[in-house]
Amino acid sequence: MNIKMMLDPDDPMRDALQGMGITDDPASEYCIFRKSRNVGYIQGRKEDQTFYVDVKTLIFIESLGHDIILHTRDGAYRSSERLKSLESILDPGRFLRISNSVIVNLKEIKRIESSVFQRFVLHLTSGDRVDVTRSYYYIFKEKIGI
Amino acid sequence: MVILSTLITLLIVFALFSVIPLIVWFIYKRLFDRHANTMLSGEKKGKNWLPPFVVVLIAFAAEVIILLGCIAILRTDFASKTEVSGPDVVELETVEEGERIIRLVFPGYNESYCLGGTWGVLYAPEEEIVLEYTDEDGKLSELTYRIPLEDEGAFYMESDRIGIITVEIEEIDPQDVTSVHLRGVDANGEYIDNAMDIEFD
Repeated sequence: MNIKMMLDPDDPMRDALQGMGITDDPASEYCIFRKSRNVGYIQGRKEDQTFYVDVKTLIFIESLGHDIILHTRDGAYRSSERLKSLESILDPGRFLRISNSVIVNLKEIKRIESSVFQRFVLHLTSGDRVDVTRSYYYIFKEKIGI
Repeated sequence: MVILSTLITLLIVFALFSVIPLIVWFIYKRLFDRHANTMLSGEKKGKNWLPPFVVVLIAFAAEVIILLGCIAILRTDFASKTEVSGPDVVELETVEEGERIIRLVFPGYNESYCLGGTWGVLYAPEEEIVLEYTDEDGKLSELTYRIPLEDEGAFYMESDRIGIITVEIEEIDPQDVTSVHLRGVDANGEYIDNAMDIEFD
């Protein structure tokens, strides 16, 4: 049986499931994750290889059409997850959704710039710039305490 | 000329309206960004600031209120001004001996008076005109006339720029008139607020 395991590589549940003959399949319709703990790793693909991306290295996550790009300090990875499910499994203290297509690591924000009307432009440590859109303006403002 | 001056006025108003909020936004944005980045670094914890676009809207609203206030003050000021003098504004025409007619000429009527509430005075149902004059003993006395203005009674436009009120004076020699006061009177005989007091040399 195949199940998508949204579990850290060292999670004992992963071994237990594999012992039961269940294999990790990112394409599976079934999914398992720990309800009480945010994940420390996300599966990502780079040049046809699968990696466990440490969420601490994530700078921001971007949705481009059907693709999810994990931008990390080590480069970009593709993920098959949906942005909404990633939002639910990532630590809300560290990650924040700032638009319909971007989740940002708050610790990787270098500078905040207010824009004309209801927007912020975030300058990240990687040199990238992402926008906080109008729908998420007050959520972001509240989170930072501006 | 009128169109040009109107265009220039509109241009100035538009420039002020767009430049002031822009300056406010620029200054506040710098302060807000500094505050935001201080909060981001976690050095301090402070109150939530108003977003820059809200401050711009407030500045814009304040501008509108101030402008409307200025217009209201100007209107009141013009209307109740106790002294409007100078031959370039109003003049008392010299009257031929024996005619005993006083003509109040309003050059530049359309331009000068429409803002000052004179429309209200001149288009009142009645006009009260008080003439101050020097009597035979050299004392200052006054005579009050109430003249109908409706249906272009005593007031008429000589041209599109010059409005004239004609008053027949029987009791005194118009040459002795030292000042003229105009006040609009409504249908109930009450004074209209936007009175005008015109002094002649």
